[in-house]
Amino acid sequence: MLSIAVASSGQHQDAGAKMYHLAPRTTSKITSKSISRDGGRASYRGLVSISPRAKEARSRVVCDALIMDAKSRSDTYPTNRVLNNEVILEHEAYVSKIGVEQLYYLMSRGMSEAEAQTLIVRGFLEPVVGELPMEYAVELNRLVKLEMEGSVG
Amino acid sequence: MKTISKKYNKPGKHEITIPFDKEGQEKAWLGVVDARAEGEYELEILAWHTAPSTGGRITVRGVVGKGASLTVRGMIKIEKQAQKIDDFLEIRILLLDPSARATAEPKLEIEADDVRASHAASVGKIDETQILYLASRGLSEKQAREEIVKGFLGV
Repeated sequence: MLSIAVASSGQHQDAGAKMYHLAPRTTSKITSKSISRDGGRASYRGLVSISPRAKEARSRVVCDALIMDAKSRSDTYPTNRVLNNEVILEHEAYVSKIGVEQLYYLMSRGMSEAEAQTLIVRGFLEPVVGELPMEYAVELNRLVKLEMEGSVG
Repeated sequence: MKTISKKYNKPGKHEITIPFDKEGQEKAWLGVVDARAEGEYELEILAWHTAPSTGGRITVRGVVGKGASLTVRGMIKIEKQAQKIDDFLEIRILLLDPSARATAEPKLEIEADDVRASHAASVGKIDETQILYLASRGLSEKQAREEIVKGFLGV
């Protein structure tokens, strides 16, 4: 499951995924990326439930969040429930803002601030975009660019 | 950074709040849950950042035995005025028996923007190859399991 959530002004995006492992030897992966900006609030809410019958199940959850400015907030509420012992379950999450050093570095190479921001956001979304079909990935890249153009960091 | 260690080996609910209310404060907290005896164990941790430039390392390690269940809820909460925070929450749970159950909920609530907050959780059983290795060194399977649990809990 791949997901991207962008929360802008006045929005509270509460998105995520639920994975129920009911059969043995099943695997799942959740990759969730969220961006909050202009006072938006992005939340990830997820569940991985592994039933007693689902022996040797494997699951991996990665949810990362990017906070663009001081008005915005970000939350994650994952639940990992494991009801048998032959399971490998991993979960990781990371929240950060755009690094000023990263911005300065890119700007020192001749990019405008907006361009640099767009590049960082694209890099942040890359793991998701990379798995999309080509046509859709192109559309998404355009969308990110459009979204970012109107904003002043 | 000094590590505060706490041990929990009785069933029931334990609620812990770790406040970060002085600027520049750094804390490392380690919670060890020994849930080898039957029962329901619950651990609720709140790392609460109200002051800026605070840093935390929260670690929970638990072993869950036959007929036992363990729920660990860990929350990193960062208030708006608390900028420049660096916190990491880690939950590691080892299931020792097919009837052992575990739930890990590592949560984040972040209102500030200049922060680095991350968490990780894993639930699994003892690696059979580790047991095989120790057995090849002359330990019985039972001894091997005990040693691995000891090492995992760091006691």
